[in-house]
Amino acid sequence: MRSTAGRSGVAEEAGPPIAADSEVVALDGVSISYAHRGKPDVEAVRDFSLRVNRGEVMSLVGPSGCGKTSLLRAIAGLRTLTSGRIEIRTAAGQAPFAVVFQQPSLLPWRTAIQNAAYGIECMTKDRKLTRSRAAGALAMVGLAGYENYYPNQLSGGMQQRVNLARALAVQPAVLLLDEPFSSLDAQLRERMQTEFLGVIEETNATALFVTHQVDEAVYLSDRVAVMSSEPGMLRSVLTVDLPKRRDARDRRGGDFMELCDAVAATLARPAGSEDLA
Amino acid sequence: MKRMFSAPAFASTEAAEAGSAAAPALSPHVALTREPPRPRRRWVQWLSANPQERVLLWCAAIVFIGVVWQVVAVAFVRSPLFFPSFTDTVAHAWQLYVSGHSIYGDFAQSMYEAGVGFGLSLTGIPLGLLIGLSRRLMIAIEPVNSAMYALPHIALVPLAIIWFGLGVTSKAFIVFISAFFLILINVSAAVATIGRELQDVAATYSASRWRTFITIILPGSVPFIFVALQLAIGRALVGVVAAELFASNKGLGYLLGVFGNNFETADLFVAIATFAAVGAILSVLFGLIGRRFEKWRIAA
Ligand SMILES: Nc1ncnc2c1ncn2[C@@H]1O[C@H](COP(=O)(O)OP(=O)(O)O)[C@@H](O)[C@H]1O
Ligand SMILES: [Mg+2]
Repeated sequence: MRSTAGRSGVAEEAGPPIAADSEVVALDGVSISYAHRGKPDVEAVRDFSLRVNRGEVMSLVGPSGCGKTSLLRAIAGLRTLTSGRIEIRTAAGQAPFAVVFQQPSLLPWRTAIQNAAYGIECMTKDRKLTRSRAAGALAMVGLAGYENYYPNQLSGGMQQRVNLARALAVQPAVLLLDEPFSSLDAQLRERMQTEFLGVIEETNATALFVTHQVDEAVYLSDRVAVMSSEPGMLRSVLTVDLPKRRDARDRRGGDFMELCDAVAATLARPAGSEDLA
Repeated sequence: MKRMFSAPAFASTEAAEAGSAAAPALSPHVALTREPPRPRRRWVQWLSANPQERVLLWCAAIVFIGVVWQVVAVAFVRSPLFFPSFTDTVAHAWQLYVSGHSIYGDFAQSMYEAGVGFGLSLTGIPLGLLIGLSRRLMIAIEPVNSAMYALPHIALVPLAIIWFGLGVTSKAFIVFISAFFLILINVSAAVATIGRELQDVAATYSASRWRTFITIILPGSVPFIFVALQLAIGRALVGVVAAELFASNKGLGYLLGVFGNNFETADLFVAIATFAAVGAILSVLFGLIGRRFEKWRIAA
């Protein structure tokens, strides 16, 4: 089953599917611009094409302001496209995506489990299923026992875990994460990254992970999409040739460092040196 | 049970001490040699204290004011006509409220007028929620809202009397106008400022407009609604006094006029204090309820 998440600004007719069977997300020639009053539109993202395979974690790295959030919001249907198409392949009854926002964005009047349940509530009336899925997601992010805590009783890291649990609970075709760990301190960030890898392994989830940190991108993903800025374009997609199962020790290894260097070098290339324009 | 628990704990302390003698460099007791925090002064504890202590503190403040008032009146002003003493005022209050029962009808009248007007002005809550949802409506009602909010409502009293006569209705109308627009403005502004962020969350889970309203906008507005109600209480009382002062034959506001004209200053004080007390009690009440919802405020 297919669902077109983003709407094309130009032509509404769907046309033949662009995502192959093994692909969950397909972006074809996506451009996004912002209107500024009295000034010409600013093109934030230009002609961006990308495929995310089933069970793959794809990172999207690029300098601040290159359009990563804009792309993610477009995939999540929060922004319309100027041109191009976005397609997400879903199973019957499956939510196409769930977003883990940069800020925890929890409802302060809901407990952790009620917050985690928010997404499923919107899909089903089955209370028992809702509860069990929310509880399961909370347990997966290490918050078993904190079900009845309110956000203001939880630390920043725990709030972000609830944010993640809310998205995991709907078991979407693709998880969209926008720098979810960027507001945490370095130590906690590393721990959450490793836990995130555990969750991915457990759920076999497909994820698109936006970050501006090279080491985070390499550590978490199977492939890294590197963007250039102004306008945001895809520069290159690098494959992370590390075992799927990683832990904190791997990030001190030489292979890891080399991969980070490669990504950093791609990022640092002068404008106009796109591989896959 | 307790002893069973404390015995091994004791033993382990001894063990630690014995250990520290052998290796003094890492003695765990070093950390404990810091001075324990000084116990806080009693009155500081009071200030941050539980409800009973809070009430005690309030009573203390009232007594203090009473004493100062008494001293100023008796020792310095010495004119009951100009500035009646505290005890004088209390005596008049006793006479008006307890022995004479003459003020109850007026008290009830004013509260009735304020209650009806304030109750009707609560329609500003659902209307404000509705208007806040639509940017167009927000803009459209801006001029009306600002004008009605800024207008001194006392200016409407003569009109209210032409329209509704000298009875309850004209007073309730003034109260309604005073409170309604304040509630409307505050509630609609609250809705409009509820972060995009949470609405985006709802949108990404394909929540319907109704679900977004019920799960996010409505609870998110609750703290602002209580702030608005607290402000509106004050406005409502101003409305009652103004309308009753202007033209009426019953009510606390009417009594204010009578007492004033007759230079019954102590009675005047009692009437004023009644308004102050009612205002304070209702305001504190709404404040207390509102505080329960304060943690619902969405962090910016
Ligand atoms: N709501 C907006 N209105 C106007 N311009 C925007 C808006 N959001 C983002 N932009 C612009 O689009 C570009 C990309 O922003 P963004 O997608 O947030 O980048 P990133 O997430 O990579 O930091 C930036 O130049 C930014 O100024
Ligand atoms: Mg961003």
